[in-house]
Amino acid sequence: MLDIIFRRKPVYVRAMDNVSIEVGKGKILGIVGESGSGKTTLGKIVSTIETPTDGKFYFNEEEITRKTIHNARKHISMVFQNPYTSVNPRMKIKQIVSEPLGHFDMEKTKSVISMVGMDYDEIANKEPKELSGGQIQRIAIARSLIKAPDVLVLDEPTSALDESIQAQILDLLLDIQKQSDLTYLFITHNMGVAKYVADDIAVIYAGKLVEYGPVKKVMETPKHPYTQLLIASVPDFEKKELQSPIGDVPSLINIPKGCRFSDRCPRVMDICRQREPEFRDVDGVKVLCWLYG
Amino acid sequence: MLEIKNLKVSYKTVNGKTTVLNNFELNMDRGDSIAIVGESGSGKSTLGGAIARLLPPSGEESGEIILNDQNLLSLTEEQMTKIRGTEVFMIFQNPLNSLNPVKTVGFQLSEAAQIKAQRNGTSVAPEEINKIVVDALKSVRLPDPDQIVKRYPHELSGGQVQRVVIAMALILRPKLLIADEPTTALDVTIQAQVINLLKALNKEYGMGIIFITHDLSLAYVISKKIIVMYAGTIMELNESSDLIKHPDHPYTIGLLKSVPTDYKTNTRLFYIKGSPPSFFNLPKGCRYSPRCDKAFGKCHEFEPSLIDVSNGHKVRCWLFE
Repeated sequence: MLDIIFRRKPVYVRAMDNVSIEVGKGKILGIVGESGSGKTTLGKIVSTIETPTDGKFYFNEEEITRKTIHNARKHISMVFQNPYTSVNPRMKIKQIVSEPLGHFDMEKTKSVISMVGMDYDEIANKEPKELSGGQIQRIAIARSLIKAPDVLVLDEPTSALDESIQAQILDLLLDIQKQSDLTYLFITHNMGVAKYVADDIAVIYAGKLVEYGPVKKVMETPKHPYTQLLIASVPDFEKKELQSPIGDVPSLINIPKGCRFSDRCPRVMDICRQREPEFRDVDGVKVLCWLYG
Repeated sequence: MLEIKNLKVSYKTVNGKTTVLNNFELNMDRGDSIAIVGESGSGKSTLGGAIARLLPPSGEESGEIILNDQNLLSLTEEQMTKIRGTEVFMIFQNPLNSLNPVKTVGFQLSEAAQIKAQRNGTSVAPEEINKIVVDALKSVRLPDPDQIVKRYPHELSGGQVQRVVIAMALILRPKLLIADEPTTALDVTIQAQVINLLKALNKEYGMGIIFITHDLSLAYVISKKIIVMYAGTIMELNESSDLIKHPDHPYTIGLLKSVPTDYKTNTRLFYIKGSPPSFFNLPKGCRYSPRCDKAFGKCHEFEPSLIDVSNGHKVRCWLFE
């Protein structure tokens, strides 16, 4: 079921049931979804931390197996949500940053630390507890850059941070992406953040991609009823009332028959409860919904 | 209904005493909803705990918190226990903290129904209690209330437990509900459901709500008024739509500008330089002055007071003197 292909030039992510997501090199794909939707799992598979139960994963047209996993790891790194738990509290900052290399390389360490806007001499010998959350997230980003990767998987990199620090980290990530022509998989539950960073958006619900397309089209004219309600339930300064789908996200152990959103969908039809829809191309956006035939 | 004057909260720590809430004031009528907004470490959760008198033992409060002609700070713990639930009700970020893990949901809600009746000086028959509980669970839109009452808190999802806690508030009908980041742990669609429930409680029963959050857009959606806190003091207070559309304090302006709302362009997001001060080492003058882009001589010398700009709009900033 989970079948992911990841290639370069252009990069393809084929996520879950026969849809290819095309992420051009140097582009940012925003992956949005609620907890339990499988977005973190997707990120972990792409960064080779987890292997898919079923299906294959390709990178640079090469299938990634246990033997070839190191090839992928040279090119893909990951930044995690909680900066404090993703660094070793007993290590010095310079060790944390150079750790992926396997040895200490002062020049490289210095250059990535300056890339994230920090001063090597000032922090190299400090420990994580001496830095603030925003600073540690910068260090985690520096560490992910030290092996000069092509692809960065960012799993909620700013959701543990205050808003004014989040703003700095987002712009920093965009700068680095532009400078080094990196490809980002940006996983977030924050629609405002996704809108700001992404070129394309993939909406995931209960382990399935339900809508995928250019950021403006998905945000302004969402096609899937789930995407519509997801956007309507996010508070912003334009509306005083929130709308939301009824009920809870289904557990992946007990998935509803037919379309996975059918039991919460306001526009549900008979066929939705019986058969799973297939992807349709609607106005340049891929949608998994019976409303579009 | 609620009036807070000169509230000050300090904590005793190994490094000495530190004051995390200073000169806090608040006026709230029946049916009001006020959001308290601030970054982490601004003292907003301390405020919630102070009103419900649920601060840790190292906390010390002074000033006045007058709820329906009664100064909560002069009450003994015993008297306070009688008020919690029916007068003041608190919802926490982690809803599991509010429920007993070894009692069923039904047991805990029935207990609430009995306490409500007891405090009203009436009594309810056991059959009636069951109906009250099931009705409350229905009103918070939990599916199969007859099944939910038999469950233990750990058998429910985070959103469901938070709705059980709100059902309890519905049974107890407190005059004042304090919600401390009640939706931070929840998904956005569940958050929207919980917010709509709280708004209904506020509207239908006139329940006063103090909503503590770091999310300005959420504050805007739920409340009539917003209080912006920084380093333990009020920086700005206004009607929520006025505060969002015409922020006056440089800190409020900075907070609002740093929220990403649009697509990326070649411009950058605004951010506030530096980080919030430690309570052990507060800057001289205005607490925000080291980070403020409009700070001038006076700001670094004297702390401004909360200035009345117009009716119901207050700003702590020398620019508005």
